[in-house]
Amino acid sequence: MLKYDYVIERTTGPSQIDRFSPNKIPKELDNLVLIEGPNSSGKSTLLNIIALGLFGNKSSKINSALQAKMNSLLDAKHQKLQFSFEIKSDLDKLIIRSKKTDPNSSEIIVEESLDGENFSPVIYENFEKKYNLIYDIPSNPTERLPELLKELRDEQRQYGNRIKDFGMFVHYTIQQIEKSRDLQRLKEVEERLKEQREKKKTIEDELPSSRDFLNMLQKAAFIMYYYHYLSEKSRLETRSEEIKKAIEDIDKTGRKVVREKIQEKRKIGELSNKLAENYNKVTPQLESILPKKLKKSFTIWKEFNPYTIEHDELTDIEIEASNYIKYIQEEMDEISKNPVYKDVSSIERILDLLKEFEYSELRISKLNVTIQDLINILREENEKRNSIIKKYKNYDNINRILNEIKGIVKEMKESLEAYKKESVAAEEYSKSSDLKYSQLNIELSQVTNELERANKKCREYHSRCILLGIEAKKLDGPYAEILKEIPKNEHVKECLDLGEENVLKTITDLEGEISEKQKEMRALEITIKQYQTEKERLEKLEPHKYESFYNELNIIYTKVNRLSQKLLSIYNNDLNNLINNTLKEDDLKNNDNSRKYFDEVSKYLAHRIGNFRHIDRTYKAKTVNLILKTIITEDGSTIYLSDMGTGQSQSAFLLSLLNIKNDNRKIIALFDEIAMMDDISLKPVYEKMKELYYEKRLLLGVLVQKGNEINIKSLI
Amino acid sequence: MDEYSIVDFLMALTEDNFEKQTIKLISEGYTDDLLLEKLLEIIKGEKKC
Repeated sequence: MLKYDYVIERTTGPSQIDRFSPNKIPKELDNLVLIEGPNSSGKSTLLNIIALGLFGNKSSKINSALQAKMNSLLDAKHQKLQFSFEIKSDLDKLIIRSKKTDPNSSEIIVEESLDGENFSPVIYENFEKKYNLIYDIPSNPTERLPELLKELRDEQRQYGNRIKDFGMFVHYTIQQIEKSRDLQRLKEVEERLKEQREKKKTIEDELPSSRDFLNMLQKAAFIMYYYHYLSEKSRLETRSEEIKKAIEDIDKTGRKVVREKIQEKRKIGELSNKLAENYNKVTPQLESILPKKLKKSFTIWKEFNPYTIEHDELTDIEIEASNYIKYIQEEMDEISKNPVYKDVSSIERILDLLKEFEYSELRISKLNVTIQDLINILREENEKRNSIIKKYKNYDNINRILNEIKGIVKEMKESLEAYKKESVAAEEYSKSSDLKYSQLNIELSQVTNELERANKKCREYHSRCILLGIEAKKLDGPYAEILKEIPKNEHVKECLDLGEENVLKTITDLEGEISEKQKEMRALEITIKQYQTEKERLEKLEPHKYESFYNELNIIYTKVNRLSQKLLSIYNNDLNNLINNTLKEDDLKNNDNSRKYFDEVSKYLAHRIGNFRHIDRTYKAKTVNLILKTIITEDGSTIYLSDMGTGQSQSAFLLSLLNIKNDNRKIIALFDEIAMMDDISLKPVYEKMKELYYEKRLLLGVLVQKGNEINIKSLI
Repeated sequence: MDEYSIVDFLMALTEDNFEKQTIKLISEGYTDDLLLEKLLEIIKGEKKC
């Protein structure tokens, strides 16, 4: 029995509200009923309210158009809905009821009673588990056949999720076993522990000998190299001093050569000044005394520049001066032959003698003159002959100057010669010394660098020796003493023969190896500790009841995971493609799994349709091909869905919705607008619904179709 | 009309007995513990073979 009531207040104008409540269709109906009625008689509203009251707006199986209608009933802005209904089974005490009492709230309360008295609330998830709400308008059923697949998808998902949940349970059990006493795990841990300990022992045995060898090699190498660089340092210091001295000598010699050159140049300058002074002095005198025959050569003389005299000009001056001296000497010789000059000369000599007695009072009685008087007389006599004397003295003076010029010239020529030689020598010296100087400086730079390196090496090896525990005083002591510190070992000796670079590389490599071994040791210690802790933990645990099936559980886990994966992912995708009509026949050609799945879906749909009428015969579906839109029947006929009459295909579709096996849920079937079906098409539907009803699987079945007047027909 | 259920459909898709039995046992409403017991028996049986 279905009892129901509802009130809908719908806003139809600015201040107009229409109120609807059931006034044509009875408020009590049988559990399996056919309702015929005209438009707006409340048939569809009744179905919408029942479906909405039983979570129909949340069910993915119900098509979106019907869901939209249900949801619009909840639209509080447009209309206010209140309802209540109760479905009571005639065959047992099951009652399910639903109500919406607050018009402004979307809250719907669903309750059930198994004993007909006590009610308890039902939430959507539990309702879905116990009840199968089928609500459909079988219009264009051939187009909507894929919607059956949605139902299949939901069920497939339910199985997939159940298997997935079971997989998690298996996984949890495995974890529990792992956390419990696991003999196999214990054995494994003990084996690992043993392995790690053996590894550690091997390293422990190897490490001391490696360390000893490294220590010996370091001692031997560092002492040897320290002394090597110490001696190298000493040699380089000596060489550095030698080079510095050689550079200094070059500097000194160079300075001497330059100094001598400067002195010579200064001397030439002084002589030149002296020459110019004498030249300037004698030239006017020569001009006044030289005869015509010498005037031409005198013109040359006058062109001399006494300040810038070159070596060749000096020779010319010397020649000219000699010529003039010769001429003047001849003139003086002539004068000296002159009796007047002789007298003057005699008087001069007498005067010289008398000079000593110039102030004497002695009187020459015969002459009656004093010595002074005599001197005066003789001077007077000489005064009378003065011009010749002056001339002679003038010549003599000129010759003296000319001889002096010749002397200067000679000296200048020698100086110039010397200066030239010194310049050449200085240049040659400069050339050779520059090269040597440069070579010495390069060598000094190299030696300085090498010395710096040797110093650095010395310090480095000294420090490393100290770090090895060698006393500083031993290192600074005699080499013979420190030699005693060098370990005697054949292998060390062989290494040392490889040279410093290779020895240092060997030392670095050995240090690296030892460091790696130490790291490995530390890692092993941690691992051993972890295994030891794990072993102790495992020993303390109680064994799990599935402990001996650990491997089998893992196999089960893998298998159920693969199965849930197939259902939830692979098959789900295939099904979605079919639902969305995106699967093509070509997609199946090279995909055996998809092909198999598609074939099974085709069989499933055929079973859901079962027997159906087409034209004037009843057929049994064998497969339904949703790609080709055909039904293959058991007798081998191919019927295109598009060729089926609407009523016939509606019938087939409704049957497919009702053909559900292995589903113990109570069915609530609501079918709207079934007017396209004739009695022959409807008959298998009625029969199926009755069958389900009497099997107590159908709780409520309401079929609605258009009619000219209200007609309620009970089908039970 | 012979009936064909979702279980028949899913079992038809299975690749081996283990999968088939898993679907069957789940459809029969086995709890996790019982399901595990049953599946362990199947695995052990397979191992013996």
